[in-house]
Amino acid sequence: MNAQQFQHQILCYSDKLYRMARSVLKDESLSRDAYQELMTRLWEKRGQLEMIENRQAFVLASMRNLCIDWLRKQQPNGEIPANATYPAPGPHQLAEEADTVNTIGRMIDVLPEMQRAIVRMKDVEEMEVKEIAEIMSITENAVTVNLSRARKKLREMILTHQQQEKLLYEHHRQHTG
Amino acid sequence: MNTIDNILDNYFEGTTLPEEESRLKEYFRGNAVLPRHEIYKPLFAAFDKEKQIAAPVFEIPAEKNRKKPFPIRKSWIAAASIAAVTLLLVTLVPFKNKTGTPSGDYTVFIHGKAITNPKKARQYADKMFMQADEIIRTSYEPVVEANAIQTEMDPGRIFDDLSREINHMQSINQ
Repeated sequence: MNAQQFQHQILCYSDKLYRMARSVLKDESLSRDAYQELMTRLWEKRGQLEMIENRQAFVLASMRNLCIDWLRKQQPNGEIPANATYPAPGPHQLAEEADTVNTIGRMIDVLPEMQRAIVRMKDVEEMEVKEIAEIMSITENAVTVNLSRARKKLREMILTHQQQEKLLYEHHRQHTG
Repeated sequence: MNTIDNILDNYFEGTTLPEEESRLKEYFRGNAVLPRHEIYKPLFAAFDKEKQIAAPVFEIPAEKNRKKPFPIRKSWIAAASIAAVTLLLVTLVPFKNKTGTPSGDYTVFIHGKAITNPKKARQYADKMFMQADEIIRTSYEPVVEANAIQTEMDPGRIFDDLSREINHMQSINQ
């Protein structure tokens, strides 16, 4: 595989790969490093890439595995760090958070790694369940179950957030009225 | 309850079909979102926004020249070594002919071909010597390579072997 083929057959997945890194690592700078690291490794092994049938699944799975390895290395016990629960936004935060789209991003980030990877592959990348199953090395049924759990949690978080906003609004009205 | 409500419920259950999800996304991208659905608009807007995130540029490294200089020098050393050994053999060893019977004539084998004319053999040997000398002299690092040849060839051992063979041949001829 020469530079031109690498450009057309591997670099075409760049954006998806980088977004996958961001989803796993939740850190922009670290994600950039992970992306560059993966690309360098793929370039060095470009001769073997020609034999791979589903390149998209292969490179995305490679990206995810590399990021998970990095996370494990950061932990003394070698495990993936557990996610914090979604913190209820304080009044100050609510007032500042005019961009509710960013709030959704933070909500997705508190889902377990597998759930947020699946929800992003389905709703952001618009991949089919079959493709996601191959990337994650799980059954299609497991993808559907995780997707369902992730979306239900997102709905709960959205509804909770809305209630918090209502309470804050009423509290503000009582004090100013 | 209209269709969007149904699709929305199915969406959060994870049971929507791909075409239903496309419809849902189009609905939330539009300006006709009903007030009761407004709460979910940021969710679908967030997906669209995340899709805009682009990867940093990856510069494909320049392809390295796979020809390494060291093996080339090695091949020159090998060529020079073979030439030098051939020269020594051609010059010093009066071989037997193919039948293995001793012959009174002068016979040498060069590239498997028997040459009986001593003058021609000598000329050929001189030519080979000149070529070998030229290869060693014009090599990239002549001194280093000449030393390497010397080390690899062990000239003392080769000379001893040749001397033994010459003595043996002479004893047969006598």
